[in-house]
Amino acid sequence: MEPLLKVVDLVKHFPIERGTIFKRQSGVVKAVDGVSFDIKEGETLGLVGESGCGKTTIGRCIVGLERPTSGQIFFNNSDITFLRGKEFRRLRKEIQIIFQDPYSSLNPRMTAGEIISEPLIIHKFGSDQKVKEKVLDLMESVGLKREHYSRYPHEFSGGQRQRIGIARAIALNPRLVVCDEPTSALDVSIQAQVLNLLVELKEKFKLSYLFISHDLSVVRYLSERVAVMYLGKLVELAENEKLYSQPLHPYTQALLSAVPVPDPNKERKRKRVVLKSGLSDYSGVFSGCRFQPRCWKAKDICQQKEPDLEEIEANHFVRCYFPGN
Amino acid sequence: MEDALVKGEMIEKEVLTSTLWLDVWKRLIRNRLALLGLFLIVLVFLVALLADFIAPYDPIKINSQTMARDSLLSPSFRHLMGTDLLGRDVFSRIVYGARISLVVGLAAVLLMVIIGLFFGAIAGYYGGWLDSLLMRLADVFFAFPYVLGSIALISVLGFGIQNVILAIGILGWPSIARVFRSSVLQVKQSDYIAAARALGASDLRIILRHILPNAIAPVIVYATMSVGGAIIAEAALSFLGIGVQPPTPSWGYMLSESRNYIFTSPWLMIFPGLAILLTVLGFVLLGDGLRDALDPRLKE
Repeated sequence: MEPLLKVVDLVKHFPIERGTIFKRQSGVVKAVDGVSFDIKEGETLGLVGESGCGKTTIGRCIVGLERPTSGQIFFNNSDITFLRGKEFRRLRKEIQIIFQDPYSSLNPRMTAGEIISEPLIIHKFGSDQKVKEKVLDLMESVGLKREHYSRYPHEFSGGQRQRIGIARAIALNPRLVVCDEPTSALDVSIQAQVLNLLVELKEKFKLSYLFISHDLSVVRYLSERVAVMYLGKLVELAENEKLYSQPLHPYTQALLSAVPVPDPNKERKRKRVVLKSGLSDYSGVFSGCRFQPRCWKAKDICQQKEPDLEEIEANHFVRCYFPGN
Repeated sequence: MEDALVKGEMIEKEVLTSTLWLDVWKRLIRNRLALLGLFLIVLVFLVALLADFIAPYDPIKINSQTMARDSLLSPSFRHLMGTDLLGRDVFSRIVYGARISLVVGLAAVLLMVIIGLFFGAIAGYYGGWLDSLLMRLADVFFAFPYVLGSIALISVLGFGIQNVILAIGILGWPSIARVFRSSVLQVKQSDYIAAARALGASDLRIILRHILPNAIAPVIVYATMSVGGAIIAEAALSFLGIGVQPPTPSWGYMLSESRNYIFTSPWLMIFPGLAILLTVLGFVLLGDGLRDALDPRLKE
């Protein structure tokens, strides 16, 4: 079966510019530096990595909010990388996004009803009456009440606001939803509710998710497969259970060892991998493996040539010369 | 217990009906200076609207028979603010002058807001060379002294109240454009703009539905204060004799006429001056209060 979304060698560089009229490029931030993966229909792919590693940029490229520097994105077997105008607009019905910050992702001058009906109005869903009925349906699906229709965002809690954002994203019945850290701005007690809602909606509306997060336990809960990213590149990609039980890349191992264990006795005895401090310069030229400066396993070869992303076991890809223990 | 319940519901209802603009209004009327400004503006508006009922005499007509007798009378109960050289009642002229000042002030600011919002939105939203071009154009307009620019424009356009409005509006747009541009730049970064783009909204829809309502506040403040500026500009132009033409009563022109009698008949200068001062003060105070009331950082 062909995947629903296929990302091939995606690259996004942000130029650092100086001067207003005569622009000089004084450097480049390689936010995404050659990333490939795919998402099957109905699947949830988790994308994890530390802040600044480019995971959000990938999401924004897929939704069309950023133009990739190079590479290709295929949706349903057609190249959507550089769509413009009408074609681009039509694609909005298929791919939607849920944002991280429920406070800045809702227009404060619009009511919840207006916000959720906007996609329906833009894509000419039907008469005002039909739109309103659909909006009320959607609000019910995401756990909002009818009387919330005419309230403004500032009258809602963070969790409720995120529900509005989710309702807006699924209003057009998209096939793929990019969830850009949808729970990281919420209280822990609310996170679970929103995650359960996402799972429920996935079943109900047959959605596929690209779930971007820095929270490994959240990703574990939702995803079928997980991709780990480090400074613009994938370092490991595997099925959920595989990745958590048998992490092969040292970065993944370090990330997983940072997740606290609820039992304090076990927590105290547990061995942890503590990494050396990270790179502050994302624009720098790497020699060899980009994780090598922080890696405790680094050998000479790691400094000379960057390893490829290799399929070490079935469906388990790692970018490391010395995977495993 | 039941009492508390009822109370709880009432509070709930109040929260429900409170929209953002209602909050702004509430904060505004808590500010005494802003209230004074509002009061002054309402007063001038009422005077202008009801001029026909308030003014005791005709502001324009000169009665050649009584002109000599009524010329330059000092304030009295018959003529509250005295009379001018031609025997006309100064109070009546000031009352009718309010119309000119308000019409010119509001129309000129409306014009500059329309031009300013248009260019400011384009510059801020699209950025790049369009932004540079429009902002350099604004710089060119800034380089003209207000009065000099108006004189140049009016000498091309000709005399008349509509040309005064045009001149002030055309010369005033760059400030509005600047203010709006910077606030558009700020709003443009919000996720809800990205969300609207991800939904496939057109640029026009994004600008009108999402950016304008969220970026308009500083423009409202600036425009309110600009009304005062425009009234002063009209007065200055009329003072110079190229604004509103006599016999139409204009505060600026009345000041101009009073120059020769400053020492003998000071009321000719004092009352139009006071009228300008209080009206401008009203708009400035209201603008200042609006700025505080609209400031989201003060939001509880």
